[in-house]
Amino acid sequence: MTAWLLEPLTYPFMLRGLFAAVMVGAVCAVLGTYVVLRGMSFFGDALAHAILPGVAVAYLARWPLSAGALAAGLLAAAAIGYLQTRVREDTAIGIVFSGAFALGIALLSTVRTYTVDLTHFLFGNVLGVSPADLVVTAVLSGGVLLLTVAFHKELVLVSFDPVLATVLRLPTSLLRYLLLFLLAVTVVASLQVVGVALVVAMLVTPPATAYLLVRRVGPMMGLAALFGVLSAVAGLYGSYYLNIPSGPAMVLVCTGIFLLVLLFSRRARPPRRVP
Amino acid sequence: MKENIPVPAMTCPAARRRAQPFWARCAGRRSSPLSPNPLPGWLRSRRGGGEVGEGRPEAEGLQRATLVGTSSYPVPCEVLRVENLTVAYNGRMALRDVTFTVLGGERVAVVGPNGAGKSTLFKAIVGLLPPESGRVEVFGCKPHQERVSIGYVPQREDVDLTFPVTVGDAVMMGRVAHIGWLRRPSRRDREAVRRALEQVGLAKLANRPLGELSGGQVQRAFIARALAQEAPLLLMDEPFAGVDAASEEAILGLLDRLREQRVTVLLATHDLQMAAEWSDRVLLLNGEVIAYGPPGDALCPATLRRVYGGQLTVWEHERGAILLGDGHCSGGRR
Repeated sequence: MTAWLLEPLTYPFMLRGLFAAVMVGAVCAVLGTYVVLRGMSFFGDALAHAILPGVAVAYLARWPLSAGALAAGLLAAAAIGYLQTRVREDTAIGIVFSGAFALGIALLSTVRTYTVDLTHFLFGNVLGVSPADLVVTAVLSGGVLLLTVAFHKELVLVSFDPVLATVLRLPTSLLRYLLLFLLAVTVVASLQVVGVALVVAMLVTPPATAYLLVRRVGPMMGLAALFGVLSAVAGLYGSYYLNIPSGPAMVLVCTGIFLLVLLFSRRARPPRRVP
Repeated sequence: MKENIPVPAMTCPAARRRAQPFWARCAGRRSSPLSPNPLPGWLRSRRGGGEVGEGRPEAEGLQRATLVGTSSYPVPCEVLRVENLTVAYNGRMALRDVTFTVLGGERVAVVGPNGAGKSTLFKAIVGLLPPESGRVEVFGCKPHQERVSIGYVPQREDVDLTFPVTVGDAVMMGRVAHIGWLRRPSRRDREAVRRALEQVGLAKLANRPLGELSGGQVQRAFIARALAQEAPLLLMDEPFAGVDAASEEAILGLLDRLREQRVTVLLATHDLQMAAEWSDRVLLLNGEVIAYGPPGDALCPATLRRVYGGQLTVWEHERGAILLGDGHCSGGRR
């Protein structure tokens, strides 16, 4: 058993992949807690896809991919924020998301090896994590976790009751943008591990699993992070031994844990009260 | 935000005011011989320049103040001033030219039919709705400019009860501004939460998830949250709507204790009887101010007919009190 566990780690690329997966699993779950509680999962998904043109431009211009992704993510968040004032929120998300994704694919198609590269963007390539990538992921995840902890009570308040946040004179729109910004950074950090198509699963599924078990935001975050890390590590081993891509393997473990908890958690949620 | 209304000489530099506690600001302004009387005529006649009639709330306040001596409430100061406030809501003019003043420690019932603008008025006071014109001042400050503390208990409607918080967590949220950025709740904050929960009778349920509470208990939890802000001004929007008898009893008892603590309370209600029995002043509202004054004056047959039209029966009681059969509103207390 020990040998079975240690054998993959003799490869440096597996070790780096493991570190990256653990960090991404944790940071996605922590930030995903807000995504689940605020009902922003569509937004998270859109943000992930809207990053593609930034990555493509950076790739073509030989800039660092994370820089391009970050710029595109923030631009998309701002665009959705603006469009919301003109059309409904989900419509705004849909427009930005599909438009940006199409632009990204069009840009990437100018590269000869584009099917291979596109697959990496879509589904991640955790085994291709370079030492430099690992540093970027660590810095981004660490930054997100730090800011989340620092502004935890304000972010929870503005998610639970924006009215009270306004009455207490908190800068509500600034906090909202902070959350979108953190979400964009998280998506960029997890790009290489799970890819844009599946990052929303890492954001949403572990917190949703924790939501079935605990009734406070803090414990929900902790438990979600535990599930996230567990799925990331188990998925990595699964991908090594079953020879399947690592991103889908992690997401499958995530979904499996959710289904198990769903089956065995007795506690039913209270129905929404009608005032 | 537009400021069409010329401001009387009430505004002094915010920085200077900030250095003083709010009662000192109020006391200073009140005793200032230079301060003009910016009240509209119909109110000015009632309050007079310092002379106060017997039985009026302000006279009562003054007597109490002299008895208490130099406590934290030396004189009944002006806690809330609303001047020519006009607010549009959903593209409709919800409030037109509303003007009134509330003194410290007063209990004001805001009364009117559905859609009269009671909730809109509260939202404008706490700064949730920007006024089209006119101004709101709390302790002589604009709510937008300074972090003045107003406790606000909204109508129970759009709070997500499936959100994973305990009752204690929810009440602690009222302390977020006190705690400050990058800090954790101190012992003082936890103490304030405990006291607030005790005051509404929910101390034993502090660790329960909010979603497990009954409607009335949720209402009490939100009142506790406003109490935890330790605000000297409390706005409650229909706190008795859809509330069970035990919670109603608890809230009524709490309102009496708040009076002893000289907390100023504005309470929006459908219930004319409750307004008449409970309040020092009644603000009768129907898109604009129909009447403002002691319940006996504000709730007279003439004003009530103006608001409720033919859907209301008015009887004169032998001692001058009014009994009302209210066929227009649902959700009242009786």
